[in-house]
Amino acid sequence: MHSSARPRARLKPLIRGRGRVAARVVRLGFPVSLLGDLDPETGRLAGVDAAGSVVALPYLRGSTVGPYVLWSAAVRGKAPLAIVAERPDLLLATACALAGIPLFQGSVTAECIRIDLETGEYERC
Amino acid sequence: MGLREAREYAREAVLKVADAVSGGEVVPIDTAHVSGVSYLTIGDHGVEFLKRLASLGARVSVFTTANPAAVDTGGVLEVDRRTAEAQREIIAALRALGVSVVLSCAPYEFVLVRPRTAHAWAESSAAAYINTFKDAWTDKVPGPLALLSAIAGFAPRTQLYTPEGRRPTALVRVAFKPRDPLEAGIVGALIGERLGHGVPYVSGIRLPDEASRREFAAALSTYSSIVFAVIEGATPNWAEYARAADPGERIEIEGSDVQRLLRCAGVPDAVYVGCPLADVETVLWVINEVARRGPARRPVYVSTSPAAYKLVERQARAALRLNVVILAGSCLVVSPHARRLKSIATDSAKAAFYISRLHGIRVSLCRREDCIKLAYA
Repeated sequence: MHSSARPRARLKPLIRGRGRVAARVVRLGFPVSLLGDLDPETGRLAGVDAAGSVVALPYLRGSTVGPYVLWSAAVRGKAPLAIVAERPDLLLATACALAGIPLFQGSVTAECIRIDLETGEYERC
Repeated sequence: MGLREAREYAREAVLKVADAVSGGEVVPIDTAHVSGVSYLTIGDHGVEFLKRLASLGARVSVFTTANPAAVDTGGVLEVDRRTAEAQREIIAALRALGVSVVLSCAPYEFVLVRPRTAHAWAESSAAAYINTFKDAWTDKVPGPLALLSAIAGFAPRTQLYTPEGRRPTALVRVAFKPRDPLEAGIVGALIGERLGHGVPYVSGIRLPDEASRREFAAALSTYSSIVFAVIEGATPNWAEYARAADPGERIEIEGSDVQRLLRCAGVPDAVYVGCPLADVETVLWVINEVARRGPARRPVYVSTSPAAYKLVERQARAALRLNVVILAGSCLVVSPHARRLKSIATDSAKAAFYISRLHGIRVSLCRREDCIKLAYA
């Protein structure tokens, strides 16, 4: 099938990035705390390698120190490429703005997506 | 990168957050208050971020205060070398950024905020206090965002910065008269637990003193995401809020609910008063109570701000002989020193919540007078 014929979906962009990328999706069915669940040295989030991936989660819980941890992962090149949250809040927006990570509202079921980091339009890889 | 570029970085970061949460709208702020000052809570990543920001030459553009640290300024609390060193780095970075390092979670003691002015305060109990008792407008701003907002001079204009977002969403009738800070705190905790979020309009309650107002605000914001309650007769402009109320929920708090949360049992290793930080009156009350009875068998910790400590420094030093330990600019919530204890008794619902979770120690919630008695058990 030609790529232009694939069904397209759109996530609501909250913090926009630039460019189009294809990335695997790390889907978490539970809320995470950036402090405690994210290892900024390795990029593992709740035990899963999330560096360079699109992380899809319901929402963030826990400490307001979380933004510092995501920033630290980003400085080391171990942060997710983008985050998709069902219920984003001030804490998650702060974390993404600090770390320079695009943030979208919505949910993703695909294993891999090609996403426009500015508009939130995506399709399965 | 110089001052201008650093400010531009902060402005861009705040605008990005505003794009995400408030349709891009921002509000100019008069003051800011930064949380995440203790090394215990921000760790090496926080230290690294603050140092990086300071090295860029960034400066706050509004009056900005800072929360308590892991170490007290009087040097009473014992911490490991790394914590002491990192704490010094944090304070040096905040000073370089132009923050007034007051090390207090009760900055409203000396920052006089006027009704209907906008602020970016990160400490939830302090945000709840100025919203509720001053009608000064702030959201519960995450620590790093409060700092970036202080540099930028504005914050994302979230709901609590709008008249519509401050309309009461629930009616709370309190059929109980709190007599002391502990009972005031428990009423706050119960309202928080029952509602979870929104803006409660609270009638039937009169908070007897300043310590009770502090405990009420702290407990309310600890047990929920609520940082603004309208208290009939106490919140400035309360009658206007009453007229604007759009309540979807109605609850009642009774005396039996309050009694249920009192858990004053067992003999603790230590007694703790001052969460949020105690004012001068409370510090002197504890010292006098213990002085009347003679040296306590178990340590009585009281946390207060360095500014209040200065006013009572002579009495505080003398009180060490009575086993009363006054902590200036730190508290048992944010200091690893708490981990040396197995159990404490406190009159603060907020301290009970955080100390048990952060340090895994047993906490009894007792009246202040009973806390003092337990120091002799």
